[in-house]
Amino acid sequence: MPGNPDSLSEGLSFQKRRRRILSTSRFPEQTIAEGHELSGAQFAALARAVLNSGASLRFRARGGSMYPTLQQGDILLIRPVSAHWLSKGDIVLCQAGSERLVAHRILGVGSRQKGSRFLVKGDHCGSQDGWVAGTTVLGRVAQVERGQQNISLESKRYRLLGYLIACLSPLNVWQYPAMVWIYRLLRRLGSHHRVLCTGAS
Amino acid sequence: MSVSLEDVYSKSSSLVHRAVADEAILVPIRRDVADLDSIYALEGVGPRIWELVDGRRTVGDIVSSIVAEYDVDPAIAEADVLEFVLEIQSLGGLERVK
Repeated sequence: MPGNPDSLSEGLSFQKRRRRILSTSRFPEQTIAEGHELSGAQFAALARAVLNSGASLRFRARGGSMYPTLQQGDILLIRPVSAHWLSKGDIVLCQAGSERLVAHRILGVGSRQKGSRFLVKGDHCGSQDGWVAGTTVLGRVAQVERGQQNISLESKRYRLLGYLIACLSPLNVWQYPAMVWIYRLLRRLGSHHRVLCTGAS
Repeated sequence: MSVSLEDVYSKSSSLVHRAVADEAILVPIRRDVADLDSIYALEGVGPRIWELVDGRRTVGDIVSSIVAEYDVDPAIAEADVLEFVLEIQSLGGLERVK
């Protein structure tokens, strides 16, 4: 590791190395979140390997490009998904530019006949990432853990909300007031629905 | 758990591994989820030992390769490889096949 005095041991005796092979160091929880231990390239390589194996990926988010849907420190669960099943409003982990992976929202879906491609953007970003090929999409954000809360983005309510945000996203000025209004409306409808159900039973 | 020089190990399928620069990074998969808050990094000779574990070589073969490649006392290399295998096995990263 750069900055670690032990990294100077390259080419020295086995004794020096010995201490290191025996320390299969378990990264402290926070250092992963802050990205101090995993570089962007390392994270991308691991994420790709995990999701290509068919397993889901869990990691701590950083950055604020998807605020308020995703927030700094949230723990995200990414499920591998075929590009065929992705739709407008979904939040996907994809490669936007060089090797950087981002979890951003799909605003548009290109022709599937010529190979899937998606227009992606962070909810809190002023500009779009642009069109990305379906092959650069690694998975879909399925769940967000925030404190004691577990939020399923695969629920009907959040998928509808995601779709509406994607529709409004080009209108950045109105996006956040509109999101708050839509969210409150959905909550009110939800509680109204519960009252009706309770009344019916 | 114990390890002998005649044992043969293979890498567990319940773990994803990637070699990045001089490190090998191991990510255990539990209940079909790989948690990047819980990963392991092998440094120094660790990645080389990991690379040599292929489901065919015995632990003794691995020790011989390490002794041939590094300036090390065979007894120290043997003790280290045995301990390495034991440690990674306890993490679920290696499975004994023979």
